[in-house]
Amino acid sequence: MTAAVLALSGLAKSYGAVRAVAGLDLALHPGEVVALVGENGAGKSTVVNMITGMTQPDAGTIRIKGAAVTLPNPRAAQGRGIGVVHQHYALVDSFTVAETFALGAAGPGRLDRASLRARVAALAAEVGIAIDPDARIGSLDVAGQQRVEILRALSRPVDLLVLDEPTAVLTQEDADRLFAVIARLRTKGVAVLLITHKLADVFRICDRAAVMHAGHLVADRPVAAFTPEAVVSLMIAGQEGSDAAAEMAGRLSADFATDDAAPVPEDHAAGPVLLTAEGLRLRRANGSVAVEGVGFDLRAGEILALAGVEGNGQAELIQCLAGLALPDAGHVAFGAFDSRRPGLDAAALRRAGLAHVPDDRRHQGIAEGLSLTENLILSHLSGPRYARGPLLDRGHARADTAAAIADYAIRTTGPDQPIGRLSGGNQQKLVLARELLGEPRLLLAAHPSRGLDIRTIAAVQDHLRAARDRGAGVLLVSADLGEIWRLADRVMVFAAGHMRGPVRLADVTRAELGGWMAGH
Amino acid sequence: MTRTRDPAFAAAVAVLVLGAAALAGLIALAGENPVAVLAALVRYGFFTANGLADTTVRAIPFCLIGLGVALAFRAGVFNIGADGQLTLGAVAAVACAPLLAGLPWPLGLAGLLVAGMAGGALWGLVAGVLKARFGANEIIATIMLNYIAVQLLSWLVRGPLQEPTGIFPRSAKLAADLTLPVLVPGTRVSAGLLVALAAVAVVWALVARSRWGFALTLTGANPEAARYGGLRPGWVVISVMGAGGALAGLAGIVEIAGLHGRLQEGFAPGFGITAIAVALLARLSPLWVPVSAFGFAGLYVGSATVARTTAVPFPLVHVIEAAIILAFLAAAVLRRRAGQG
Repeated sequence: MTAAVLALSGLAKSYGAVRAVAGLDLALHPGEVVALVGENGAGKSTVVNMITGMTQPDAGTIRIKGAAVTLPNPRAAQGRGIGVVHQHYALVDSFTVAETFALGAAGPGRLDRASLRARVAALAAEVGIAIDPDARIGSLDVAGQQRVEILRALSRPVDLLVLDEPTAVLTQEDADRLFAVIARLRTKGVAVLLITHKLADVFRICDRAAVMHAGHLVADRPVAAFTPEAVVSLMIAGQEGSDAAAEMAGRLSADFATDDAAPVPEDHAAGPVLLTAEGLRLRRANGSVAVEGVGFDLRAGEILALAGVEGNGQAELIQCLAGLALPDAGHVAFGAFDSRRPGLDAAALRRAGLAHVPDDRRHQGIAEGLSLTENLILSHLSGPRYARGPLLDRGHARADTAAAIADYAIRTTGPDQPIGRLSGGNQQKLVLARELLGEPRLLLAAHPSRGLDIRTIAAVQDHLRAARDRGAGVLLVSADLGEIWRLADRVMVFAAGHMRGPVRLADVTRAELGGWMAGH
Repeated sequence: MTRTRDPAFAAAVAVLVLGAAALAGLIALAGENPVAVLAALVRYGFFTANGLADTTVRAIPFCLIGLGVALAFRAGVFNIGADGQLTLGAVAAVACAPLLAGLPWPLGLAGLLVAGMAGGALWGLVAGVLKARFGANEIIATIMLNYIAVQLLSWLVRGPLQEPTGIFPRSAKLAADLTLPVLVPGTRVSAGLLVALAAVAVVWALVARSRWGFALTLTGANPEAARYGGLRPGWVVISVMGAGGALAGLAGIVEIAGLHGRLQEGFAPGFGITAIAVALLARLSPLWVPVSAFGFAGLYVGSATVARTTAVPFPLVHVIEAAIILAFLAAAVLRRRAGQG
């Protein structure tokens, strides 16, 4: 066997009293694709941060091609041939793809755009990534931006590419393209470390899987030596054969089963119409039409799913329904509110029983510097819940926060901790707890389980079902057909500027839906 | 690792040390002994009876204006226009004085203070509405409104509000029952001190207990999340500019009714800018604003004395002020960097 590209031994890191990573041993060889899986808070991100020079280990050694190294900062890791694509991209919307490559790499003096473009095009061809060097970053969808970040990571000599949750935001089609790129990198001898929550990714593309549980590496074997149930059990219980894990794996079987095995949801008797949209045309921030001709009714007691490749107007629809943007044409009506009349704003809609789990949590859903309690108040500020005349009932909010921490198993030091210190999954749990507080009549849920571990996903889905069963109407935006199949009563699709559906889930197959999403 | 433990603290110390060194250098350039000068400055500003009284007098407007600046900065609104708002508050109150002069004792005075707050609030609202409605940068708008206020005052004390003899560029004296009584006999410390302390309590309650106070904090922390939560960003900007203007206007009329007794040009030179340093040093916390205001007031009073008795000129205090603002900004930037890393 050739020398390991990267070998970690006894790597450990604590944050205060919390042992994030305890004595981790892991090696990656050239051309190997290794999955690193585990629940939120299992320590995956800490491992990535140590490998990429973002944080320093407390103990243990990192060897690169046999030589022990310290990586005091991200630049040092890059210099040693470690490329990384983070979950959150560091891109400038107004730059073109080619200009992005000059970021942090261009020397002083005039920027030679022609050679820059040629370099980017050549690199893209070599890796097998289709990208227009002149496209503006802001005009690209999430998958396109991810391709730019991958190319950027590969623009220097790279022996190891770390991909943090790359498929969380991708449609199946885009994920397939990503896997093709990974396969090509592997033949060039690049090792790939794939951090993922999706078991399907593990079994599709990876050679080996390393499972982390509560800071420990509990298994590291070839993928062929795992069953999906075993991985689930190791992730949530740290050992195989856990009953709770088996039950959970069974419930989530759609995640690793093929189309036909997906359970057909039972019919729910839906109530009166809650929300109506008619003839909507929605524009993106840059002025282009995202989607037009959107019309549907959402009834009390149903989950209506909105599927489709991201960037086809889903985000714009949610912003419009939440009262944060007006439609370009057409109208929406919720209860006494109508977008054709004044008085429709986010505060009024929220008072009328609307709740909204946003897709961009960091920018819209939370204020990172504020405490959990303050983040819980965030969307109830205009409502009656914590209002005592002009005063704010912080004691009540703090009690609600403590209850949410217990109910949703949020890992935190308490209601007063700044929410920015929590992992993404735990932040999402608080957002969900907050939005379900006070039993909303209408819930807009945009990618509520994106990036979460499977135990949390199961909890999130249970909460959505419970909301539906007590008579709320739920609009669920999801890129995950498995999730839609498990939850939704009806589904509609935005693709190529138009909508298809809504139809009852029983009246459509996954293949048909896939065709709609592709714009057929 | 000690190297990365608290870069913000290290930077703050470094800037303060560098600032102190620069300060000592400047004093030495003026031909004086830096240690002796600074010791005299602190001794007079804080440790003599007269100095303490003068410091208190100066701290009252710093505190009132600083509270308003702190409110605005909490919401991420950079109100640089306290000077203009203070001027307009004083102007509005003095203009109303003839109407209030006949009223029974506390009523007229209360009316005067309310008029001052209304005038300041109105001037603040101009910038607030410009930002909320047209997206005009509030820093530029408030600075320009400051210049307009200076010219307006200059015209008023030579025109409509000039004293009856028409000789001096100033207004007539306020009627006795419209002035704030002296609180400590033998000093110039007026009941304005009580006004300032009451304002501290009210602003603290707003920040810590009210929904509006939370709306400011939330808007400052993440404006996009505030909008998502149902707050109208325009309303936050307008209300906080109005509140900041009202506090500055109150400071203006307290200066007139508690100290000068009449309107004149340049009665509160640069107070609005100093109040920014006051608010920043108090870390935008209403309870620390009076402490911070007192500290700066002491520096002013001490510097003025030093300027009279030595060759070191009064603007020294501006150098000290600048060093403190720079230290604060450097620490804030580094803290943000450390937070992201």
